[in-house]
Amino acid sequence: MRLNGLDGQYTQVLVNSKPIFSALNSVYGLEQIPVSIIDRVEVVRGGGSALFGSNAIAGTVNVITKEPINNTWEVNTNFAAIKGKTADRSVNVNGSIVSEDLMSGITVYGMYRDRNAYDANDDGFSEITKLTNNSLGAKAFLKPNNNSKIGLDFTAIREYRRGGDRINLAPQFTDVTEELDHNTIFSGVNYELYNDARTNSFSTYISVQHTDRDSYYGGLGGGRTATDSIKANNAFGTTTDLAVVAGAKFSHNFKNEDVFTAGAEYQHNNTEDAMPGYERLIDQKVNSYGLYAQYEWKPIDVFTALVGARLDRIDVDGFYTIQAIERNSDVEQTEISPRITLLYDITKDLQFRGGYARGFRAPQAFNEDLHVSSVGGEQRFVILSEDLESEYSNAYTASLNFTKDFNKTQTNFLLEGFYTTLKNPFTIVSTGTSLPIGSVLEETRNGAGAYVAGANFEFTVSPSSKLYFQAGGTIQKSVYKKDQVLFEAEASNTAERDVVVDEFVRSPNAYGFLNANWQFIEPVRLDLTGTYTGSMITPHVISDSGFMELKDTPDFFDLTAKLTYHFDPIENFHVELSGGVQNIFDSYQDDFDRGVTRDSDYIYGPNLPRTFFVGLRFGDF
Amino acid sequence: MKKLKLFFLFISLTWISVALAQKNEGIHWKNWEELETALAEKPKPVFLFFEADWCAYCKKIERVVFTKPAVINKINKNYYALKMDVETKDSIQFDGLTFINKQAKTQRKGVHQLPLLLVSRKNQPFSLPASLFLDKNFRVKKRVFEYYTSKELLKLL
Repeated sequence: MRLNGLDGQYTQVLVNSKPIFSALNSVYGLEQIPVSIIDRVEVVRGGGSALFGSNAIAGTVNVITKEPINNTWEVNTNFAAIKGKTADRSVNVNGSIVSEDLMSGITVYGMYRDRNAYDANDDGFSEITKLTNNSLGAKAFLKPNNNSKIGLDFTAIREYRRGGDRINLAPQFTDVTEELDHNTIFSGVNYELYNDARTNSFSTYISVQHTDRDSYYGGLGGGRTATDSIKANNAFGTTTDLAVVAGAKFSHNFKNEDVFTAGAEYQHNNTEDAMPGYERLIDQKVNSYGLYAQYEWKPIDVFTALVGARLDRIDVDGFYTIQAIERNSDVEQTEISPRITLLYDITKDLQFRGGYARGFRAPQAFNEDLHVSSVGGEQRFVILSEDLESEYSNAYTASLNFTKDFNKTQTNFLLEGFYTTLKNPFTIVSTGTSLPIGSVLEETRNGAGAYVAGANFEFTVSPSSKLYFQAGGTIQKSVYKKDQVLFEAEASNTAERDVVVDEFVRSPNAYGFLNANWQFIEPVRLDLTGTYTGSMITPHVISDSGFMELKDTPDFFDLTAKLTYHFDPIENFHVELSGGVQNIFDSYQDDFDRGVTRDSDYIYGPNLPRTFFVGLRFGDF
Repeated sequence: MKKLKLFFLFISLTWISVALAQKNEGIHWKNWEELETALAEKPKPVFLFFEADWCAYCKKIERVVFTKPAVINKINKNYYALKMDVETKDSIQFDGLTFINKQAKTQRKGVHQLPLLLVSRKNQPFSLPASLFLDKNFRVKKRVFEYYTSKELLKLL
């Protein structure tokens, strides 16, 4: 996900306004939510609200599910053929039952997914992992009276991924394997209370997520001696991750349309990731406490100001080791982050929006640090550097939005500018093969100060309810104020020098999207979605020492078309047959590394080549 | 003689099952024309129900409330019942006047003039579900703009 030029770590993903996260699964449980119970997805660029996350300065994505009203059920099956040869099958089943008085109900959902591994360049090593996923979940609600509601959520996920060579062998007999087996349970309770006049609302929630993960990162690496074999047999690891999120929020609507919101949030994350064979351990506990308040001031019809602040206290207690290197993070930090958004209706159809948000991140291991990849036939690890300091950000946004209906034609135009400064941004720097075992070690360090500046535009037109077209794009640059080191060459190696950049890597200067649907005859609909990714700088390791070159990747246009045919053979029973092609132009990376010594991180662009798919959906939905 | 008795038994069974089937058929919905004729012949209280594709609560009422035998019997016995899709583009004649869906010419999801006339509320946007209970002189007794269970509907009727 990329918002305002910044990648996923600066965006908060929420489900029904509740955060979902943990160090291990940074965007968790999202795939499991059945599409049919999603009411809408609210994307807000720029972090102008105090209600969400100390780091959500690029924006928030809030997936809002609808409370079921009617009894429904559906079965959804999909079969895809990646590049016409690798199968990806999935079956989703869900159903809802709601009592006649609408006071209680439950939605139950299950998913089965099985994808074979895909080898793009026939070198025997996969570019897309084998994936199997079985999940089961339920969401129930109970309304003791018309002014309150209790909600219960449960999801269990079993996910297995395997990449590398000779997928059918046990991992220690292959050359390079990454194998992950996750067993995750997620459970939550929430309670909402309103007064009769609906001027006061109170909500509270607690969610717990627990994951057990078995991992394997290693292999024979091309060797065949007894030593290689012993090493390969010691590449197993186990991870336990516990995340608890709890919060309470109170909101009051004044008679003059002002709104006051205040709340508190607590997050606990305990991660233990051990790979004894590599003497690698991440043992981290993070406790964060947040208090927030926001006032929505509406003095006149055409002007609204949202003013708020968050007070966050983060405690990180972390112990990280790889071989003989030991690092600690012992942080207790309290910060105030002000947030403000202004809205002004210049005319009935034209609105100005501007905002400022401050954010920060305390030093800790995040999702990307728990990832182990392979290069040169060896593993590559990430560890926090000594004395890692907190990262701070300041985000400014301003936009103009024009919305107007011309009879049945709906139109919308948006033009937005953004500027974000990052102080001490967490940057991954490679120290080369500095580990005794010959593996590459990367460190998360505070990078040179940086800024991200750019503009978004978006344009939507829908002449009727049967035709909808939306397109948008972003131009941006993400710049380090001073040159930033990405790779530290060894002094003894005269052929290699430090690799330095002045712009962010993996950050395209231009990117865009399009989204269209057209119901050209009654039962048939065509859906088109596309994303454009401009050229970007991508590091590529090219020697045993971890030395990298900086490649300028080509640009990509990933366009997907889907045709759906809907008919009702009998009353209250619908059938949808669909089929299409994902990435029609096969706009896909064509220079993957080959063989055992490949850099498994050298991957960029669309995540699937041209893929054909067919689907069948039926039920009472 | 035996064969004749068997034949009559068979016929009466068929009649009984047809009669029972009639009972399970549901509410006898009339259209505006049939309603006008019926009221002219024999005045009875009237129950009007307005719905639309996008109204999920209306769908719930139709599936779960209007299918209960107690509700069906009470409505069929004591009322003339009519249900209307508020987005219909039909031209309807009632009480000597013609009603059309004027909004549909310039708006999406345009609402027909008849429901606009009968179930609009001052200072509030048009909303569904909307149910109207009229006495046998076609005067409005109750207007309900909420979802109701079968128990609640029986009380309203």
